[in-house]
Amino acid sequence: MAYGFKAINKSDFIQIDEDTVSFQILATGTTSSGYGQYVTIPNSYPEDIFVVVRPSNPNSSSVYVMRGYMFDYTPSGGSRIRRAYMGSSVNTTFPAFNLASDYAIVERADGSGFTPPTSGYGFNVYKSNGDLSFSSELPTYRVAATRNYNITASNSGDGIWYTPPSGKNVLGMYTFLSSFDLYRVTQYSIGGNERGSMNYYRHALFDYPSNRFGLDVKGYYSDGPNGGAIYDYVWSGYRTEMIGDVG
Amino acid sequence: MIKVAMVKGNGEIQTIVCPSDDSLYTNGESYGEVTARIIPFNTDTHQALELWYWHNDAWQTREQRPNHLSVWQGHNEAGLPTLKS
Repeated sequence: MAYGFKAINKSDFIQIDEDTVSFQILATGTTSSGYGQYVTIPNSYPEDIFVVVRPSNPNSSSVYVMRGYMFDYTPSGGSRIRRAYMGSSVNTTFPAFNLASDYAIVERADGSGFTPPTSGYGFNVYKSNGDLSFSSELPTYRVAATRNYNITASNSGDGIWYTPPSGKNVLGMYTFLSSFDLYRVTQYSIGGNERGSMNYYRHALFDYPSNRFGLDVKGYYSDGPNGGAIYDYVWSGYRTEMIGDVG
Repeated sequence: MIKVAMVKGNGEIQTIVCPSDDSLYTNGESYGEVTARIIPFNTDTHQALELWYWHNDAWQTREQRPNHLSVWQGHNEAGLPTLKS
């Protein structure tokens, strides 16, 4: 190894070396409360950032759900709009998603737009190709667990998928803001020409009292148009989910 | 390290952000739909989000949101902050 440093455990497994790339925090923040809140991502931020979120100042005896998604749109002749929508709520049958959220904007240290800090303090670690792999000058997002789930009509991913090891708490952890939003719309016959419709949403689930994290799926019914088409549309495909610590 | 209130067009704070690099935000500069206003680092974030708004180039205070379903209508012409319940 010619660059960086290496840390190994007692069995000689590598824990950190020059190829260990950290997720560095560019900014942390808190949104206002209210439905439909979002954070404007300045266009000066790199392209390859992502956002992690959690309920802000939660009651540890309540279960919370979060809704949110990334938005990136440039209207014809207009300026680019980059937003991270987010909202949290105590988990109920009809959560309002109008409580404040904490967030962090994250980028891989070797990302194309990442500028290595040059404060003269701490230390930077570089890979053999010259890319930064870690800087002590910025906080990091330390991933505790991840899953890659294939969404289909019959597999929503609903349920708990992370329980921390002893001594570690979900309270305070952040989840990757993937698409916690509408993922399935179905319309069906409820007899003759009459139609019923269901919209299904995926939400991040912070179960603080039981100290675990997962996914909550909620379906909402509405009457469909008389004689309307019968369909079952699913925004199918793989979703990456993460839970981790900021600091 | 700095703390920055990102202010919407109606004066309400959209978010309060702490950048890892102070040079990411400049006081008074627009960033898309919002304007950066640097605030004291020891500001209570939740209190500022609830009670502060920007008007006439200064921070003003409004009453506490009566509930989380209330939507703020902005500073009215009579000079009184308004809340719609």
